[in-house]
Amino acid sequence: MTTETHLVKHPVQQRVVHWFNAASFLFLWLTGIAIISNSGYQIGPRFYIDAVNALFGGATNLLHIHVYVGLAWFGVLVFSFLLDPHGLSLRFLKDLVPTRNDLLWFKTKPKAELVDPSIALPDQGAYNAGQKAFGVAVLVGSVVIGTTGLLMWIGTGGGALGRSLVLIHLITVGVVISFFFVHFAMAALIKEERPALVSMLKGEIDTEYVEHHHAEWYRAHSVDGEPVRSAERFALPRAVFRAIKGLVLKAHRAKPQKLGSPYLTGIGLGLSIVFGYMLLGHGPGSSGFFSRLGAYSVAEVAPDHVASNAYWGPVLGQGLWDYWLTWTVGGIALGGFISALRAGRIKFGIDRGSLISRPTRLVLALLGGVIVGFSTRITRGCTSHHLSEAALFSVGSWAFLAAVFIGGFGAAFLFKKVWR
Amino acid sequence: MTAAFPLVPLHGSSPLIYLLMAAVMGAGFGFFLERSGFGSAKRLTAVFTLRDWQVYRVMFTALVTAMIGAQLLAAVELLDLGLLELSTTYLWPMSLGGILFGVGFYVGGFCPGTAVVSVVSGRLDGLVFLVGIVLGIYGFALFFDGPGQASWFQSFYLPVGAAVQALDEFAPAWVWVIGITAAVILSFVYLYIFEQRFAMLTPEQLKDAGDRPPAVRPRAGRTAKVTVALATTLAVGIAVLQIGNDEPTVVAAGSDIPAAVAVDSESVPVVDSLSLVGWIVSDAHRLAADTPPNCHVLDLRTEQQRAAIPIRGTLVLPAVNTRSEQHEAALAVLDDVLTTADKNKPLVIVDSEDSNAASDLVADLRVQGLNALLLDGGAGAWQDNVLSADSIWPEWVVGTTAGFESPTPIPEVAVYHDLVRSWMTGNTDEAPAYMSIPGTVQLPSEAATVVATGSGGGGCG
Repeated sequence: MTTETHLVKHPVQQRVVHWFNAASFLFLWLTGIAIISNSGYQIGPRFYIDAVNALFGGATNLLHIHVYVGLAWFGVLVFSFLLDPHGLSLRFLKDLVPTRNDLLWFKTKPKAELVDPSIALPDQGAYNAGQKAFGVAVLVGSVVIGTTGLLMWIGTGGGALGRSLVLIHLITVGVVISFFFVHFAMAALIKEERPALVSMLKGEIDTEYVEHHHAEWYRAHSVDGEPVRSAERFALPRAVFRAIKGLVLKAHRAKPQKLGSPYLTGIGLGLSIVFGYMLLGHGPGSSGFFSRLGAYSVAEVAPDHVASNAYWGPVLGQGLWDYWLTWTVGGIALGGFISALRAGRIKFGIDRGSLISRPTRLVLALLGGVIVGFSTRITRGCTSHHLSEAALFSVGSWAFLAAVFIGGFGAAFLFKKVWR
Repeated sequence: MTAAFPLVPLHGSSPLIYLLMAAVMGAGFGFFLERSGFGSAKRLTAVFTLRDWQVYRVMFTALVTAMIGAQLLAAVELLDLGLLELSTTYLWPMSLGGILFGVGFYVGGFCPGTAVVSVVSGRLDGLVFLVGIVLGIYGFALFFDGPGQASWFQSFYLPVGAAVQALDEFAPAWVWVIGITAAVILSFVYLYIFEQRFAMLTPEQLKDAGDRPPAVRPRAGRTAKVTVALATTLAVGIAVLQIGNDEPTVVAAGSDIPAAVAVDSESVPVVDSLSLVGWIVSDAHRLAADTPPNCHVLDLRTEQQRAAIPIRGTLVLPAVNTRSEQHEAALAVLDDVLTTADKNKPLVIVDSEDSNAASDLVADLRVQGLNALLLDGGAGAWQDNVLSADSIWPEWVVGTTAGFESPTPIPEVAVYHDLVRSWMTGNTDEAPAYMSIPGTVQLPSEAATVVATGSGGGGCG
């Protein structure tokens, strides 16, 4: 269908997502208004609330429908965006990046609109500055609305947290909806913008219109428009992977930064523990995770063997992914990775003393791990756990810390060669 | 005032939020472990070969920071230390196991948390160490199920008899805060002096030990001084605040007859368990005569707790999980029950003991204009003073009842106590005779008169 006077602006995948988003969002907005019947927050008129509730068979049904449509909306958008199967997400993000011309556009547009229509506007890319602002608002707003909605669905235990989630949800919807009205009015009511609306329906756009309204984009795509090339498939995940790989390799090659002051990093560690005290009611740990990881891993192969074990049997039913230590160890890995990345301390290799070979070091690492793993079960926790309880005056934790140094000094005296 | 933290034990949370907070805490911990250079086994073990004291410095700075942080937050009443998790001390397993742990630490080069950091720093030895940990724990599970079942191991692993759990059982917390802070700082100063000499003698050895060349040492010294100053100020500040807190609360010594309504240290009006018995007994007579009760009792406890220590004629809550849910459930129950006429009647809140949840609820209800009171000492005191056969009731219980006739004759006090006990535990349904209530006595008829004495607050019953 492409003729000389038309260019491909919106590939079919983009159009599908656009209209799916528009329809779901409108539906969610209309049902959402009817859900809020609490007098303090009520937005819609009473008759409307009653009518919608009656239509969907009561408040409970309405809420369920709102939640499931919302989950479908958010799930489809997030997966299609992050997976980027057609290579459109990365392009969309690039199209939203503000440029110098956008600033100029915001300065000259009101003048051109109100004072002198002959004032030339700066050249624009795929979206003009106003459209970009709308795009960013919708993108950020959708993430906020979807995330808060998801958290409300999972449940936050009521209280201040739950109430503030509802408030954030409502305010963000309000902001996005007000942007939406402008967007709707531009597309549906203003005649000059008609080609833009048509392009979102048919995918193609009039060359003359593009040349005038999106000159930068026109210069870049004047030959063939912009069909999706197969090489661009999964562009966003690939770009993210490339970026992380680049950072890791850069950190690997970089000269490591000097270490921070032990006192400052120690204070940082201490404050992380205090953070745990204040929110969770306890400090960090890690060895409990490895016990559970082991129990669940061995149970994959031999479930009866683990279930009948006096120590691991009771562990099995307690869950691995909903165990707080699993998440804390994940956090330790993430925090350590970020720090190592920043400091250029990612070094692929093996640390060893100068007198032992690499294989010997690995055997000793395994042996040390076995000893430490075994002893954590007797001591009821590792260094991080006992550090955070020693700070609360636990006698056992102080005994543990002292014993670790005694054992370490003793081993160092006996096996000097290991770390010479 | 009650503390606002710890958040989860006080206010509850959904599992996901809890897990996310655990992850954030881990991320902070991992970040600073890496900042300290603990992704490298060589640097970690250098403390055991006395070459580099980075591990010791970081560890004890963290400990002192967390200790001062916790005590400071508690001193300004932001954090309730009693609600923090503290695992049981098993002295011998923790000491001997700790020595074994130290040996493994030196041989393997890591402890579990630092091994995770070393893996994300690209170290293969860290990964192998983690595999070793899982294998070691598997080994323990096998051992525990086999030879470990023998009594020698079990009595070592899980000793019977309470060990001393916390240092502040020996001396007040502020003594430990100052003592530990001072000892740690002093050790840092000694280390610093020691390393300066060491540096002058053999700079090569020092360079071998750590990444920091001697030139940056004075800067580390400045940081040390600043830390010393900061920590000392904080410790002294906490000590001052703590000493202020330790002043004993003055308890008003009254006659042997308690005022029915007193005010406890948290400024919440309380009622003693004996007076509450009187109120409940007389309300039973009122209800039997189809008259509205003169007070309401709201029981916050769970079904099992209520069954264990029964209190008759209470309003109960549906099962709840968190404190905020409990709060909302209480308001809902009261909303259903209280008529306008009931707003001025005493509303007694009962919990297992004097809990923050209960006294907060009382304060909250009082703000809303209700005459809420707390059962002093909760169900524990109720058990000791009312249900226990060992408790001796005072004579005034069966004394004169301010001019009204009890429908049943008033027996002597020991017999009366037995009657009340068997009625409360449900052994009999016949309500005992009226009891004399100190402070306030209210007649069961429409022509009820209130004789109020003592410290404000109405009685009922």
